[in-house]
Amino acid sequence: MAYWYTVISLMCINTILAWSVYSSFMTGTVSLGQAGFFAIGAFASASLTAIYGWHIVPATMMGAVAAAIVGLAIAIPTLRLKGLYLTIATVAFVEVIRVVFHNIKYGRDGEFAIDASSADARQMPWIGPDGPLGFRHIIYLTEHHITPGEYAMWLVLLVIAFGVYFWVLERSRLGFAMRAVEEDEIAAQGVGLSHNFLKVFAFAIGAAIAGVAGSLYAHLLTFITGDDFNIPLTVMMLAYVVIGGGQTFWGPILGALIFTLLPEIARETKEFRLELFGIAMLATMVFRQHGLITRDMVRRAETRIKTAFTGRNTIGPDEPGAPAPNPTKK
Amino acid sequence: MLDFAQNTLDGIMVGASYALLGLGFTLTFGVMRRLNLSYGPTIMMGVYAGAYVSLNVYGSLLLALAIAVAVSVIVGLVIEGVCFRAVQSDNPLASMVSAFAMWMVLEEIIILLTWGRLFPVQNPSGLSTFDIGPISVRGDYFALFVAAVVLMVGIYWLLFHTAFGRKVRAVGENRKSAQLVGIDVNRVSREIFVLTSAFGGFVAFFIAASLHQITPGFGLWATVKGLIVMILGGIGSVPGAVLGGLLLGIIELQAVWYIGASYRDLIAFALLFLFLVVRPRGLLGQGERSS
Repeated sequence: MAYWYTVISLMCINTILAWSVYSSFMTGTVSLGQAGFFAIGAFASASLTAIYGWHIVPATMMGAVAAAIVGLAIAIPTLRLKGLYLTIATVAFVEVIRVVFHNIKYGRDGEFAIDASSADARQMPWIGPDGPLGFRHIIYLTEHHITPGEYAMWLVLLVIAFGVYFWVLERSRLGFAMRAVEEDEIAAQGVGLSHNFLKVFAFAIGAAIAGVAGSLYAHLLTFITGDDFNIPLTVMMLAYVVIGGGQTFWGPILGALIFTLLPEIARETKEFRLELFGIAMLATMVFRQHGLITRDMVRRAETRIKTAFTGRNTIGPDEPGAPAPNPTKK
Repeated sequence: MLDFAQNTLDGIMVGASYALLGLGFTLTFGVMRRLNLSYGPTIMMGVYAGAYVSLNVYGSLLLALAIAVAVSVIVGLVIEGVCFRAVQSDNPLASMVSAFAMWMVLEEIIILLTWGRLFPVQNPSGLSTFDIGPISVRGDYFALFVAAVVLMVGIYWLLFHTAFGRKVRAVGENRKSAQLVGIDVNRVSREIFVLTSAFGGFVAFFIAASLHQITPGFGLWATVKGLIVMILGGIGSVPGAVLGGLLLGIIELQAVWYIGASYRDLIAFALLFLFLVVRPRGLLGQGERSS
């Protein structure tokens, strides 16, 4: 059972990561730098809980703040670039962060787990990142007797909270403004929207969300190294959004759920597991190039639910159920 | 001073191979406006095939190179067909994600076939270190450098002095206009995949030979180096890729000498990143051209 709790926790973390990509995706900014913010959140919050004995909630918040600050510092110069150019430029950031955390060492000596004078106590644990050996002994959860089931439950609640944030955002003026920037930056500027502010804002929020996910990941795994946060991971996060569908916030959830569950379910196939996984990704991209869930599907489903509750058919030319022109046409 | 000169020379020789990896990325991106993330794994397949043949069938460097190039081209064409031709939508991310999926599949195939162990690659024999004055030159680096320079001259000639090159540059400039003046864009895309996979396989075999081995991690390594060189030089710029490759090679080797091997990548990437903050379009990039 604990195995499935961990799988559920990972699903929640990957969903949050997918949303962190989606946050800037809404303004048309495709970031491949999320693994860097994920790493910053993980190392910052794990340092606070493991070295300084903080509570996990303020530590997670500090991780998010640290990631957001770095995100702002990255966003302001690089957002001058457009389209795929920006996407590629953010890759360099992931590599910098990975190598920094691969080499960094700080922290304090830990306590002996057993009596220091006994013969078995050979080595003092190092609390904090230890270069290529990684950051071990992030034992907040066991120290505070939080079981995997409880942790998974908290993560599910957190996912729901983030889901509400995106649900509200997509229906707010801010969300529509972001979508307008995605559609056409110059036109958005023409109607008085500050596209630079919106893009930087969405990027920083995305970085903060990735930082939260990093903190949750570090405490779940109790061990992180700089090498965990590499380019394949960052592409994978983007893949959740692209495969699930980047037009609504439902797509990233589906992408993250499928691609966390699929390798677990496919464990039966042993060494062919990742081939099947890759082929499934390929097939999705060949047959559904805008992702599994599109905006039209969500609108149709919403209208159907609305009709079921109110008993009225609300589909009209200006209603959300009406067939929309191809929304991603550039 | 002598150390500095020695490092610079070594850096130029290593950097020449980085420059070719960057060229592979930049040429594909210029023509397709899509990022081919599986470029590294493509040429890795070639190196594995070449190394396998030279180890188990017939130990000839030329044959191994030919096999490496041929297999790279075949894999490159498969990727073009599956990830770029079949996924021809207005969404460039679809191609990028499917190329990434292809990368996973290729890497897993290699791990299945070789059990993930490192695989020996024969070093071109008879290439020992020689001296020019006080500076010594590693023979295999020198071979790599010569091969890279010959290839770069060849690519330059192809791009700027042939009808094919004119087509490639026209498609890179504006895909739709190129189509309007009668250029078969799909054919140019296929040809550019053949070209980049061929010289990629060639130079990758030399890189692997100078390391004496290849591991399934080579694909990631080559992709990262190529991407970084492309960003550094300016996306879509051919001279930028060459300059970026040489610069990365020199910075890396100076960093190894003066700061330490574990900080090699840190220094290189940190400099690169600072540079990007100041000049995000890279050394010679055009920046925001509309795609």
